[in-house]
Order: sequence, then structure tokens, then C-alpha cells
Amino acid sequence: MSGRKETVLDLAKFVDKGVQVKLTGGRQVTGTLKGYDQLLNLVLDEAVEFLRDADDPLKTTDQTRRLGLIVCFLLILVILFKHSQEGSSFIRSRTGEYVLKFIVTRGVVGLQMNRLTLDDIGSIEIKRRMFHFCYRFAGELL
Amino acid sequence: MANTNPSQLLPSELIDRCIGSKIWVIMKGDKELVGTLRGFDVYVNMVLEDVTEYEITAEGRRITKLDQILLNGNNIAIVSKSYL
Repeated sequence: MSGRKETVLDLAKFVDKGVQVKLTGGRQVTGTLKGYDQLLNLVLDEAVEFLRDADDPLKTTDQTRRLGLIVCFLLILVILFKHSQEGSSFIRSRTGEYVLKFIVTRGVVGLQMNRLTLDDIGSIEIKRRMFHFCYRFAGELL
Repeated sequence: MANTNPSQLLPSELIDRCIGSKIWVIMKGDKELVGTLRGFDVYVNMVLEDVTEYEITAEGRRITKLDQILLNGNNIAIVSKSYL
């Protein structure tokens, strides 16, 4: 299949840059992106985790802990910028800082994360994964 | 190695380098494990030895020692070589 090398997000331009990521279950980690694979598993260096609120696992606190060089799995959202968008079709996290927009036109799913528009979605596999991805993320937030 | 971009470090590559050494596994929930990595598969299911499991609760950490385990990769969130 031609979509073998495709990823939902093109993370190549963020290699060696600081990124903030959120994992399923609500863990939030920042670090320097060192590598990734098709499933959006990431390698982060000098990673720091923001500890979660004991009462609400979707909220993070100011408490942090250092993790060092890590691999993180089950990425649900890559937060690369603080949001600078407006519009009611955006989904915000509970802190109101981050946005994710679902675009469905003629059966094609697009996903916009902050300033990144991901309308160039190739294979059915990617679309399927994308649906799953959106579904899981939406389920977590709503 | 069939890596298109050699300057990048693949997640599976990093885990492969950890075989034989102590790793720190953070689960999606409130569990963390420290143990020696013996092997893993494509789903990142892991075989770990001399494992200490920490369950972080409001009261503190509950510690369980385990000899050898097969850890389902489904609920792993983070893997780190350096630990606490």
C-alpha cells in the first residue's frame, strides 16, 4: 500500500524542536522531538511531565517531574503552538488553550490542529486511522 | 537499517537499545513499573524481569515486587531508560 510511509501529521519539521504532547489518559509531556514513527509514537529528549490533578486526570497541575529520554505512545494530540484561532467549530481542551477542528467535506475528513491544516490525507488506512484518532480524542474531551 | 532519515531516532530503535537494561514504564493510568527489559514485540508488549510495580494513590505509593512478567503494551504511555 502506498500509504505505508504516510503519517497523519508531518512531524519532520518539528524534529529537534520543543513540542508539547498530550497522551491518552491525560498525561502531558514536553520535550525535544528526536524521532517518531507512523503510529505517532514519539521519542522525546529532556522530557518533563506535567503531573495530573488527582481529582480530574484531564487537568494538569504546575507540578512537574523530569523523565529524560523517553518514548511515548498513544498520542492523541500534538500541541505545537498555543492557539491563535477563533471560531465555534473548534474543540478546546478544558484549559481553553488548545484547539482541534474537524472538517468533513464530501466524505473526506480533515483535521486542523492549531495552525496546521491536514486536508491532504492520502490512503484509506490513514483516513481510517484519522477517524479513530478523532473519535478517541473527541471521546476524551466531550 | 531501513530508516529513511538516519538523523532521526525511531521509537522502536530506542526501546531496542534498552534490552538488557533497567527501564521505567509509565502506564496510562496511575501505575509505573521499573524492571529489566528482556524483549518486546511490534505491539510493544514487553517481557520484564525483577519488576517493581508502583501504584500511585492518594495515600502514597503501593509497591509490588514481581519476578518475571509479560506486560501488555496496550496501556503503556511512556518508556524511559533513566528512572527516578
